[in-house]
Amino acid sequence: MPRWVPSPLARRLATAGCLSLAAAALVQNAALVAFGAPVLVALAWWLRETRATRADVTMDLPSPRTTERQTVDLRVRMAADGPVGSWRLALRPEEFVGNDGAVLATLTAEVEASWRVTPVRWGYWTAGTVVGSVRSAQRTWSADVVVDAPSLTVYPPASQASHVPPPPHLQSRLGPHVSRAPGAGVEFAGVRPYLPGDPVRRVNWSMSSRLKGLGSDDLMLNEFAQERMGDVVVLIDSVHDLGVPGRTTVDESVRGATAVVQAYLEVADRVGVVAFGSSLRWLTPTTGTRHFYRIVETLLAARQARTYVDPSVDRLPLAVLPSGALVVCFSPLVDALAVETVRDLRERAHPVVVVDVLTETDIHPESADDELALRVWRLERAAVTSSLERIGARVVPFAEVAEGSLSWVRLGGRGAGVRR
Amino acid sequence: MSPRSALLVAASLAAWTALLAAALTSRASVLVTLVAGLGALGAWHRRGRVASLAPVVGCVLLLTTGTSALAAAACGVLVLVHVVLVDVADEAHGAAAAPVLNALGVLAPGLALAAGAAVVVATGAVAGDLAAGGVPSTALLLAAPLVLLCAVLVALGLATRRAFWSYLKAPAQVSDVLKRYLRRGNLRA
Repeated sequence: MPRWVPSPLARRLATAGCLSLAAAALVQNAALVAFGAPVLVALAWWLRETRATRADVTMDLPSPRTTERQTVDLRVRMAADGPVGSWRLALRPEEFVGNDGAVLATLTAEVEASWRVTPVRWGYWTAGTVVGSVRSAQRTWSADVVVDAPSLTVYPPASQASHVPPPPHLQSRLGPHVSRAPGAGVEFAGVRPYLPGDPVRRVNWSMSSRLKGLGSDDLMLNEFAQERMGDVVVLIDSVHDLGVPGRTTVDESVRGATAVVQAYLEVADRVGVVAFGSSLRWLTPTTGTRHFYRIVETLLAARQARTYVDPSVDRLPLAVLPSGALVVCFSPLVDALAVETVRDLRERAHPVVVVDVLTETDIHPESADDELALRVWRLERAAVTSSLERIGARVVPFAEVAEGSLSWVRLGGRGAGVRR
Repeated sequence: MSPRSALLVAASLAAWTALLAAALTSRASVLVTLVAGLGALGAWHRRGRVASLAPVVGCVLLLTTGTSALAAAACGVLVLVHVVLVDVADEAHGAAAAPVLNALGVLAPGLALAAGAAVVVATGAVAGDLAAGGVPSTALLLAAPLVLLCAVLVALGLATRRAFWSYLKAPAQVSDVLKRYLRRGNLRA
């Protein structure tokens, strides 16, 4: 239990008593002493009361993990080991974790309160700080019990994509995407004449009988398309974190990357991640829900621990960037490192989609020089974008990503990449 | 009436009685009494804690020219009751009756008894002034012991049956089982 201090009631009674005694001394009137005496005697009597020595705090959070804008209920119970007059409980909010702001005042010996906590930014936060003010039984002493609420891991919002475009290059492993090559799948691809050794069960008897009526003795065989797996690698460029807190480039990058990762993992593709900038972290592409959480934990660390190691993709193990894997790079494109990385990836014949996460909002040039500088800056960015598109990378603004669909991942022409 | 309103009404009555008693034994301006009485109403506002000290300041100003120490002591007790009740009312916002009774449990018997005694003493002290002003003080002098008797009974009740009072809920919240029990006339038996 923290230190007990005189309560507001005790301070008010002391003020009343001292005021009357001071006035009595000033005007030399015994009536004022008689006025203040009951107040001071009662105060002195009440201040002798016994107080609790310990407070038990129990906090219950249904799950330590949640997503942005999702509400969780925090329950707190406080009880003291001695006589208590009243409790007042409040939850002091964190910067990016809001709550309904309820303050619970109760005149009982123990208190149980609950708050609806809503985090608005992904990351590792606490649900707030619980502040309990307790009064002694006769209300002349008060103490504050301050306890940190449980920690909360906040994930970016889930993907809303209803259709996941297949990556341009499909690997040889069995997977969810229909390829152009014929093989053992379930998707009908066409018919061809029967050859010795073909399975008889795949003969298209209706077509063969029609051909026999036309004078041909050939049997026709159904062909099916192969179903292959795609590899997707998501790159996060966190060298610079620009923008207002909650909408910074790293914030938006992680939100977009999570949506891409979740969408491709749900259709059973292999997904990997490379986070470079603050430090170089990677996860080799693989499948599964457990891998999704590993990737998200890696992405959540994108804002933390800065190092002096050059975050070049040359340092990555070969397995992290499988040949032909679709690379989705989230970058504000303000650093030469990101541009060089994309160029490097294109030279390795990876199909690359670059998401420009730097959005221009609230830019108000105040003078002609500012206007000129802004125009030059925009031209420079247009030149960077143009140079990336010239080497076959597709550059899309983040606004398209924020719409929720994944149609922006579709590549064509040179962007699909030609393996050398 | 909510428990908080009841507490504030009781607090205001205590403050006004104290101010009246102080005004009757003093030669100060009536304006002080009025201003302090209105200031006591500030306690109805949730942020009006400082206003709860208005009766204290008013009484001190009035008693600078006071003549009766007995009346001043009674005023002090009534002001004490006022400050305590306002403090409890501050935290009784939206509370049910049972927790308020629980919170008052330790203080209530003493406060009730002190308030009753203070009213009797104050009435006795100002009876002469009232009679000089043409107010029928005899009736007041007869009523004052009745107030004291009521205060004693309430204090005894709070001290002895506090747990039972806290247990009883509002009539609308009485359980069906208890309603059936009462309907069968068991309470009368």
